[in-house]
Amino acid sequence: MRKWLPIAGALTACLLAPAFGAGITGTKHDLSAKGYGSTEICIFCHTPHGATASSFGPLWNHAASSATYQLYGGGVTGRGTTVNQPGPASASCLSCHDGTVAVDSYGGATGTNFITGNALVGTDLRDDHPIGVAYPTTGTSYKIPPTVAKTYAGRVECASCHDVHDSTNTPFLRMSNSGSALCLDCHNK
Amino acid sequence: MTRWLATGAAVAAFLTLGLAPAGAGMAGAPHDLSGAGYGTDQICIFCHTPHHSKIAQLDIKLWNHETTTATYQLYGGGTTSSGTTVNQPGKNSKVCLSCHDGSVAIDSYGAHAGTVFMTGDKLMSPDLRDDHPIGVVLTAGAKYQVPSGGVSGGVRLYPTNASGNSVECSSCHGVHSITYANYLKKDNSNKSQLCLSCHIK
Repeated sequence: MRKWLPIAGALTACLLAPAFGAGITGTKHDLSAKGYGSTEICIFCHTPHGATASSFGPLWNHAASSATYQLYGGGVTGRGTTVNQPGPASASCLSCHDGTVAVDSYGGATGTNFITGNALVGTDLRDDHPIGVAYPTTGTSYKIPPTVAKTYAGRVECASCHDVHDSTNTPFLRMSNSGSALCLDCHNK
Repeated sequence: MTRWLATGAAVAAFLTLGLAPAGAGMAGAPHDLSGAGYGTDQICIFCHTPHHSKIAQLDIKLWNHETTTATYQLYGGGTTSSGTTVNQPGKNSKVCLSCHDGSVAIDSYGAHAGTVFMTGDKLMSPDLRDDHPIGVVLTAGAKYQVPSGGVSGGVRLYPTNASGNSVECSSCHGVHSITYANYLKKDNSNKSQLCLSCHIK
């Protein structure tokens, strides 16, 4: 019996780890030490009072991007599915990651620090996986529905693959992509 | 001991089931390079990336592999025996040739500078005179027919599966599915049914 306990413990830890992630503290989404006018974490996106009415998320507090995006495939996938402008579960991310709005533009303030480098997605989304695109409801090319990836209003958005609050699986992926497991959660390949 | 074995088997089964994708599958097939020591344990990333794709090199499906810039020696010197022009390979061939012509390392993907080149039977080289013409238009008629595939698979022409469009590597080969030998889209050991998809013989 004693032999079993460590095994059970290890298995439990293994299975539970993705669910109880590391959290946002100390991750790249923790901007509390950046000198952006606040030592709080949540404030850059959320506020308990005086929030902006927004579809981006609860108690929204970050300035929104007003960009119009160049879409994957010019607005249509290889299978002929329409690619729309990003929905709220993408536009919230792009309000920093398209590079048009300062990271520290929150709570009504206009910031001065813009995203650079690999985390800059830009407003040209032609080189990015389509978002704002309806997830298939029939056929065999995709897993319907996916197990881990999420859809928003039936569409793939940034948050389909990314969990903004948990960096357990870099870069904020909803599961480890070892063996391309996250890709294969949707794509039957 | 018996108990341990059972536990081990159960865990192995769980992990295997958890990882196995549906369908014929990339995982474990020759195009699965995740275990080759090429700088990643992912499968898709050698050819595709969700962000910052190499669209400027090749505008196809979130392309992530360094793209060949070779100029090819063409079948029949650029003309088939029936007088049809053979063009330089299109993008649905260049995706393959970016490893299989031997000019670009297999592990040159994303920002990873590769060093391992294709060798052996799978190396096409830039001399395509000994290979079935690609970049060649199929016109339906007495000798040829448009095959039955489409965007979801099957033998097809590019960019769309219609008379007047091109035969490319991907016309016969389905890079993601090893159901048939050599990634063929049909079982050609069954009375050459792949060849006869286009050729009226």
